[in-house]
Amino acid sequence: MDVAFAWPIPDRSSSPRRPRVSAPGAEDTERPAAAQILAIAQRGDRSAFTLLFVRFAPKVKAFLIRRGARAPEELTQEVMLSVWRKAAYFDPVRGTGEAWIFAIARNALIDSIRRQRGHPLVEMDPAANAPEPVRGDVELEAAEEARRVRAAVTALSPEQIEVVKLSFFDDRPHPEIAARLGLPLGTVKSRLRLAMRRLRTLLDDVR
Amino acid sequence: MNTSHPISETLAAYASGGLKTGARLVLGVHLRACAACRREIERLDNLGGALLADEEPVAMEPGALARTLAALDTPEPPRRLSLDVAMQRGVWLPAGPGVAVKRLGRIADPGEHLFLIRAAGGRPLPEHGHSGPERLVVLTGAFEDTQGRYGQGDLVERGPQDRHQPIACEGETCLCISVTEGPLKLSGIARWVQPMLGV
Repeated sequence: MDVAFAWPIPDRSSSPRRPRVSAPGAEDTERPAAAQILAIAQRGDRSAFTLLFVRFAPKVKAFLIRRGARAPEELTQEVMLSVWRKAAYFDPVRGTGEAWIFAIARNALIDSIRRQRGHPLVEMDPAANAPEPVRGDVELEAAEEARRVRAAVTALSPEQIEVVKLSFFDDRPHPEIAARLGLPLGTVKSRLRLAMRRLRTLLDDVR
Repeated sequence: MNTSHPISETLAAYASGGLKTGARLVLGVHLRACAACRREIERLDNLGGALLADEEPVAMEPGALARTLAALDTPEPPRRLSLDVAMQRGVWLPAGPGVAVKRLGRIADPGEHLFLIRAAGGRPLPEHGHSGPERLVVLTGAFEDTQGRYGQGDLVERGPQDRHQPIACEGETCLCISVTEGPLKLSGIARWVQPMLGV
């Protein structure tokens, strides 16, 4: 039984073991990615793209390295180029700007593996090609959603964030996670399941 | 539990990029039809976005921004192979009375078997054993198996040993896409065409 799931959430902010997930509000000085993506979509705003590049390219590169991409630098530039080209498809109602960039990076990773094997690239995300009309006030909503998603992730225990990161973000198989953390496989699976369920509940509150 | 949706692990694998291409495409057909699972993917993407925003930055090479800015107005890369296009290609092979299968080869990853299956109403879909999980999604029509009835967009995930005896519902032709991994073993009449399918 994972005691970390006791409700209410224990305050762990003083714990030195806390993984690096900054509290919501820590980056209030930065506009959410959504605002810049919308600026690109609406008026081909190159300075918005530059801001986005400076902030996200190094993070995308880190993610691609984490996932073992062969040419992370070039692939990151491709990802950012896709951000520019596909900006009109970004729908802030469907998720945060950060989520949208994450999805583009993930798809670029899939493409790069196909390309290495000489396979044709495949049209993938069905939803990505069906833009819906952008409503008013979406920028504010997007900012709010980004903040709340971060808050949801921050509300997980350090142990939960650790397994979620390894499994979902790093895409490592469960047995490898178990070995790395020195935990029984069953513990990894149940911890992950509970963490995802908890996140789901927290993210549901976003809407 | 409703079995016409992917399990949460499959959705998580889709969002994290861990699914092979064929499985991704099969799931994509379901996602087009299912708002609830689309919403689940949006949630997972939001999680990915939050984790991405927290990544420790790794510096880009000098000039990376300038190079990317210079490339902004270059033409888009050529269009990709889509499932719709891939389905128009290839040859239908008979797999029993009223039943045919078509292999969608180049669009799947190595080790995956991606098939279109067409069965006239009342006809059984080809059964096969497989070493990995099977994912089956309904494009048009409907089929029934021991667990229930599946219509357009419904997705079934089955373990390697599950024999589910799917039968196309009476009255209309059922068109499905199936993806499996590992060596395939078709049974019944479908076994005859196995060499032609290259599996």
